[in-house]
Amino acid sequence: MPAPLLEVIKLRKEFGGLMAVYDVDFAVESGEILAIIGPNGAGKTTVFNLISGMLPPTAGDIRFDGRLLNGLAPHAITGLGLARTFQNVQLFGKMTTLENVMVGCHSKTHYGLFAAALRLPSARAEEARVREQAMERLARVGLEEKADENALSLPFGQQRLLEVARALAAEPRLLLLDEPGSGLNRAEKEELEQLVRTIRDDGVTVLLVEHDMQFVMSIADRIIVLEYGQKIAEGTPVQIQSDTRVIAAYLGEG
Amino acid sequence: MKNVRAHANTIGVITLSVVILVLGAIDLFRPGGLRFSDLTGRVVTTDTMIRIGILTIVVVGLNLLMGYAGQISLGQAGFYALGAYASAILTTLSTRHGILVGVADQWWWPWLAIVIGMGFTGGFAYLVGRPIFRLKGNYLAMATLGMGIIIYILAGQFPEITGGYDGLTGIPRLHIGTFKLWPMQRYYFLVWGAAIAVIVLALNIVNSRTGRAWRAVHSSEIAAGASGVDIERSKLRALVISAVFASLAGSLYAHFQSAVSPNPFSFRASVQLVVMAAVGGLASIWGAPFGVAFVFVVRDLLRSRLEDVLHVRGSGYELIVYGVILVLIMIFLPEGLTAGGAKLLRKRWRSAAAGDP
Repeated sequence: MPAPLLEVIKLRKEFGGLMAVYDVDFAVESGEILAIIGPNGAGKTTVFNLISGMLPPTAGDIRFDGRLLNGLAPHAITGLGLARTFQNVQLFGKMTTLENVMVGCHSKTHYGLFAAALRLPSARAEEARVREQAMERLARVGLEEKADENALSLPFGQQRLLEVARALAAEPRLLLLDEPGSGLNRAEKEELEQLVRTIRDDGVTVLLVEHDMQFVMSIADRIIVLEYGQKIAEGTPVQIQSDTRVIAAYLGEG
Repeated sequence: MKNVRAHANTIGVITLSVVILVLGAIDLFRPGGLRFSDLTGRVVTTDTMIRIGILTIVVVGLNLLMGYAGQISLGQAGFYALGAYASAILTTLSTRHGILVGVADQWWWPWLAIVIGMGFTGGFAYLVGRPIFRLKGNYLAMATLGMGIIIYILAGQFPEITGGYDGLTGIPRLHIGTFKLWPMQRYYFLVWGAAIAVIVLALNIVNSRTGRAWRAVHSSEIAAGASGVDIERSKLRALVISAVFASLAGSLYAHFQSAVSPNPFSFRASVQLVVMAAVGGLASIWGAPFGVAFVFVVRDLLRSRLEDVLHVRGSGYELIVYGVILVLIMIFLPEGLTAGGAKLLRKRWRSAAAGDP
């Protein structure tokens, strides 16, 4: 069996005495769609923030493709091939849809300040390539016609898609989606599900946090359940649906 | 319309260059004894134009830093001072200290001094910025405020080196070979050539991956980091570029005045620069020359005209009126003269096209 793409080992995050994440272990296999679920405050988003370098872990290791991520800055982690979206959409206002995606290409471009200031051929060529790639990513999520519009003028559902396009622009091997379905209607969620599947089929592994059970059950290959910062179950959607601890956790929540 | 917008910057650069050339040519050749200050009712003279050009270079840099990267500097006059003093000290080495005689008399030495000043100031900005940008939040304003004041005070000390509060005099004029870039009608072309070059470089940078990264950092640091942008490095870059531009301007100022003293580099000067950037419009390179020119013209107009109207000298009334004008601009054109003005015009056009009364 090949080594997992992402390995989380005894991950712990303490916020002033509160254990937000408590010794969580899990692995993401290459090519799967893995979902993390759990009641509010279970530590799902904290796990995401730890993996993407937004927060330093209190203890534990995070390995991506065998490489230790602990202590790396977010941009360095993105450069290694791990991109993410946000629960509260974080787009760059005052920039067009296309420009937002072009920022996503940042780690894949290298021309320097000098080349930029003098518009040397190398800079121009790379700039043209970035523009083209960004357009491709926009087309991928169906937003190519909105390329020149201000990112924040898009309806909310499209803003979410734009974030996915921006994350894809970094050419990630692992895509982290933080509550991608929240705020979307049924039709938009179905569209999103299709999109996530095609992204996976193109060879991008997907790790997502989600609230909507129906959505998770139909999209995920495997599910991890967190409660109070601890992992209480792991398995296929069928296994999770019949797990007594999971049922208790969700019923207990009301 | 779309075509016009795509080439707006090129058109702007060409227009500005032509205007500068025509104004400069009038003063250089004086057709029929005409000076261009006659055209402006003596408010704008060649001297004023040179000062506007020099400060445009500083404000373009400040605009990159504040408008694009979103980092406020309250000590830009400090970087400006470093450039001015670098040129002043290096070009008077042989006359004041008898050092480098034979080298420091060459025509190219002052040009090399300008480059040394830019390198030194850029390196200094890097050292100041590096620890600051490690911290989250906007500490740059505080740090640069302190830095600017320290540079100002230091410039008044060490009379052996800086000339103390009296400053340094005898800074030579610039030459290209044996061609002297003086009288000021000639120097004007150098200053504005440099200003236009800086505008072009800045426009190119803004429309590159670096400029996009700045705007991204300004808008959301979290998302910028997740998109692969090195936030710390990005801010540092903006600070260093703005410092290098300020240093260049400082050198041009030193060779224009032929003397430097600490006075023009006080905290007030730093605030003045921020005002110019804001009036012209943050996040707009074109705002820089307009912001600087506006502040100069309004200040000079008020000073000369108010005295005529009120028959009082040195009353300080002009400062009150000046303040009111700035407040009005910030209320009605918060994006500055260029971006705000363009928006107003577009609205006018649109409503005119729609047949609104």
